[in-house]
Amino acid sequence: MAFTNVLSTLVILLYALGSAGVFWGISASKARVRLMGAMSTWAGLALHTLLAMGVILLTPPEDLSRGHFLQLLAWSILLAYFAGWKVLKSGFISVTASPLALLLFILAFCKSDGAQVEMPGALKELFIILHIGPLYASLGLLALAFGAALLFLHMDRKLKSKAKFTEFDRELPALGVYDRLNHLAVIFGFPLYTLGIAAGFIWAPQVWSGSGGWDPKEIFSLFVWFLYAVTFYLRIVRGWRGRKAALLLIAIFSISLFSLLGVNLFMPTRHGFSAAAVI
Amino acid sequence: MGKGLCLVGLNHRTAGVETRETFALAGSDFLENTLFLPVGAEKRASSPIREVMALSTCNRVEILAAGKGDELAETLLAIWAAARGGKTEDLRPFVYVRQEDEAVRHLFSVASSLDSMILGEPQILGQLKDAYKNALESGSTGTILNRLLHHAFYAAKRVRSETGVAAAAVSVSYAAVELAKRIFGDMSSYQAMLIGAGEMAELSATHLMNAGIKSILVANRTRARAVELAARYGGRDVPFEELVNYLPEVDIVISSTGASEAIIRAEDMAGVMKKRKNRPMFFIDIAVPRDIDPGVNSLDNIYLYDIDDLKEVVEENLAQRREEAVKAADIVEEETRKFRRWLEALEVQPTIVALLQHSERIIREEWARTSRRLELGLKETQALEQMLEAIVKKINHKPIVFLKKLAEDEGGAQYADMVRRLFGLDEERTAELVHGRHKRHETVSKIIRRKTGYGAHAADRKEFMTMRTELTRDKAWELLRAYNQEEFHLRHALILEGVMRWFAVELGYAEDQDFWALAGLLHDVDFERFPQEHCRKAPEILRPAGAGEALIHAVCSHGYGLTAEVRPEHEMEKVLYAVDELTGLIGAAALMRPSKSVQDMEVKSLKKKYKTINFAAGCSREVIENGAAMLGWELEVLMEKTLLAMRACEEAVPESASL
Repeated sequence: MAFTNVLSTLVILLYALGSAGVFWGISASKARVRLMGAMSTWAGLALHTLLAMGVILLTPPEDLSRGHFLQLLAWSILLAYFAGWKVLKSGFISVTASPLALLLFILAFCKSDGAQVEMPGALKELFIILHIGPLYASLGLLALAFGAALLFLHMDRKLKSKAKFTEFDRELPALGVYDRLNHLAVIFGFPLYTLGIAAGFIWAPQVWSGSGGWDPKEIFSLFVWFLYAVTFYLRIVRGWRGRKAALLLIAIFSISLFSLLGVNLFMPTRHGFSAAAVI
Repeated sequence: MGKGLCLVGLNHRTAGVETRETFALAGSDFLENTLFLPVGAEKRASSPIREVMALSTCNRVEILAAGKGDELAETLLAIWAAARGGKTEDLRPFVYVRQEDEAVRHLFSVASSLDSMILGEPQILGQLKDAYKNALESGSTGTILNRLLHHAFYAAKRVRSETGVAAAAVSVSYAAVELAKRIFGDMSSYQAMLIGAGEMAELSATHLMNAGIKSILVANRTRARAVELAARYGGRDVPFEELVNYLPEVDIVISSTGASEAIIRAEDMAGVMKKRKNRPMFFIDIAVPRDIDPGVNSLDNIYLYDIDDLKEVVEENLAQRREEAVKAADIVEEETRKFRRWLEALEVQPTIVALLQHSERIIREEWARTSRRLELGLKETQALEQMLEAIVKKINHKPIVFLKKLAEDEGGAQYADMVRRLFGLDEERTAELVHGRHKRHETVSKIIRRKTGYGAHAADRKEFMTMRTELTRDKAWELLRAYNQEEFHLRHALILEGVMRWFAVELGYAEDQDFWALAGLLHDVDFERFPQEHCRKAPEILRPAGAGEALIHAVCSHGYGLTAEVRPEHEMEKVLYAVDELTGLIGAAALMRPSKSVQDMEVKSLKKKYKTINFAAGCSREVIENGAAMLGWELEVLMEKTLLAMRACEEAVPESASL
């Protein structure tokens, strides 16, 4: 455990260095400092990935705690974010990636223990692969597209109103980039989300012996799934783009975030492992 | 005396277009026959112009010359006026004259496009390069202008890459293309449509082509014109009446027709957007009255900019460039300073000194290598060293006389530069640390060791302490004055004397404080006269004066790792080693303060200065940190103590004037 703590501190250090480097590099327009910041952030992610792999491979499924799930969630959001950074080569993502990583990692790190989570009796590994894996991956994509959607609305408004572009705006990528992220989150995220939800409903009777009533979290998840499906249809078939697509995505992410964090606060639920522990 | 740089010129601010036309220098035979001729060999003696070049564009004329004397500017003006069939007096009201640094600064500003009518426009640098090429080919430039122009190109490059002076678009057509990039990003998969014609619209189309747009459709009321334009952009023409049918295919529309009412209406666009599955569109409406219904802008995924919007963008961008110009001016200032340093190095006197040091260094190094193998007595050693010194002087005698003579009647800069390059003197100069400590001199310490008997069986601490010196304070001061004239060096010696005395008391060596102070006073005794052999000459100076071996060891050891391999052993030696550079840094930091004093300086602000690598860069942080490590102190402790020591002795060190 001590060893993982050392590694975790190192990850925090790398992310912090990365954030500082990137911001200093930009404000003082020093390309090399900025590059070093970026490199430090990537090194942090590599180590973070190692830690996450360690959790997945070394911890027996029945020992997984809330903290573990939180860590994995943070990691998958970051993974999506960093993939976006790499693919889009976007200045904006490179600026926000390291502080976001730092924040998420520290949040997860502070809650690294906690109650264990009820797991289904049989086929635990498969359950993780089919339920938690796809759900986290789609959440990662959603988070990325959520950020992009906010920026889209910002830039869209500026272009429409012919407002002055600030230094920050000039660093931002073109409008088309955000829409592409939105597209990715819909076209890959929706099937993943569907898979995760379906697996959940298949395994649920095993854990709680008979589906026995609806859990609020499950209701929310179904609602999100329905909204996601509508978005999928509108975006892929009807060709919705731009502002409306961005608004839809913001709605989906906000609701799923609420179902992830909020439901546990306000309603009784048997999905105890959620990130509510953080709050 | 100045270095003889002069720039005369006029530009769009000082002269109207008519005057600029009258005094333009276009046509190269003017340059060669009139302006450059005085530089030719036969006229050299009579003209003050040594080097010259001229830049002439529609917005400015700049004539830049290096030469001698005060008549340089007048001569340039006279030649210029005469060449254009006018009188100097006609020219004078419109002309500015810049000398020395001012000329350099002006040239750098011009090259960086800070002086241009449109701030940051890129053409001027190309024009300056062409003008320089012409001058170079006609042979009218030399050492100074060649270096100056290359420096100007470098400054311009820095301004361009480090500031936003040339960043945002300042023409309507280019601003439109920048906006398109903001919407679409990479342009290679998008199509544009040009409706109507006109200079601005066509310019926008050209910029789009340059930005890599996939293709351009052209619609025009006159079909023939459409065909012609389409051919020019490698696109295709579409019938004007059906252009709305083609809108689903295109992403960017540039419209500039003379139509009296809108040719694209908002209600048309709903259908178009449906057909193109809401892929975004960008409309650029350059026409007045407008071609495109402003209501189009309120539809999702459509962005419409009209001519007024674009003009506003251009205004904002210009304002932004003006802000960036402040940053650029700093760069110009910095480069001007750098150039001045180079110019100053061209003075003959420093070159002579560098030349002498150069040959002395070589001979010393060889002598060190050889004498190590020979078992020579003191007498032989002295005789041989005298001989070597004589050789240095004799070999350099002729070149020095030659340089001095040139300096008087021809401006020896070219020759000084040549000598510098011939002997690689500047390479040596940059390799040196500020104290002239040379990393290459490690062999030297071995001689010291052999001669002084130190090193191999290093001094037993007790024995070391008993080796008192016979040198008195007065004799030491006399000795120091004999070898040092520079106030700066004398002050440094006095500061170290006081600081070392303070440390002696502080560290419990009160009874040895005179000895500590003496080491401080004399530690750089050989530096001014023999910067290349710093710490090596010291024993030869100190021993005859009656200095004990302990003192000599202490003095030599402060160059440990730099000029000597004599390791600081005694605590006193470690203190000396550690504070030598640090006092320099503190002294420099004190000068930055309003009080010019260390009395009110805090360790915190000193640390800040210490961390600023460029501040007093000559004071080696490495040495200071090594010193602190030797003493086993934290850096902060060393700083605090040294600061206290300097405060204590500040009063005692006289102002420079009284030295």
